[in-house]
Amino acid sequence: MMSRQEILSWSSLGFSLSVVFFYIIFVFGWPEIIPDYSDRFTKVFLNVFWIALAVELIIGLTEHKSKVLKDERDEKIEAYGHKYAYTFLSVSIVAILFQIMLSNFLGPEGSQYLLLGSTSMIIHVLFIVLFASSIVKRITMIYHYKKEW
Amino acid sequence: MSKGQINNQIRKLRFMQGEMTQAELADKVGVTRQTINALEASKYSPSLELAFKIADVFSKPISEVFFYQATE
Repeated sequence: MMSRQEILSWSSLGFSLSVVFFYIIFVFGWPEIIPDYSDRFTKVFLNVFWIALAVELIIGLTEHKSKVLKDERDEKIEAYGHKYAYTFLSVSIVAILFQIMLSNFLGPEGSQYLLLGSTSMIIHVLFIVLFASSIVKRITMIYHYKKEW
Repeated sequence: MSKGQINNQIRKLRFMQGEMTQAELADKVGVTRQTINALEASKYSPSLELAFKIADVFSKPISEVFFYQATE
């Protein structure tokens, strides 16, 4: 049986994945190479979103029933999650800053060939990176809950 | 430096202590039942404080509850 924190890790992972999925679809649209599966994927991620939200609500409402919400093992695993999420976020931000500097150097004509050639694209990528780092944190935590120490 | 593993007799001591459940032990030392389960399976090494708390519950010295086994 999973602990409260492990269940929260799974629900948070599902929530972040569905948010990233819908945001990417909203900003970039559905890829033309796989048009037939858009409905299926949308339904799946919508279900994941609502289930994750329900689980987090239930966990939150039943908090008072637990004697221990987070113990030393949970905190140790969360520290591992923070470590890898921070590393991912740092590397991503450095890459984004490098692209911005390159964009300034190349000017408007050269920037059209860059992934982050426009301000709006930079904002979209930053938003995605933020949720992606949350995904990295939760995956790391789930991995440590499951593996042997 | 060689790696080692910390094994323990928690499960045995629990049953000797009037068949104490994992949940009861967890409540006494302030951790979750899953942490006690992980300890008994040697999947988690406790902090010094937790190790002392567990030893206190069984009224045993810490060296009779936890064993360090160095591996090559």
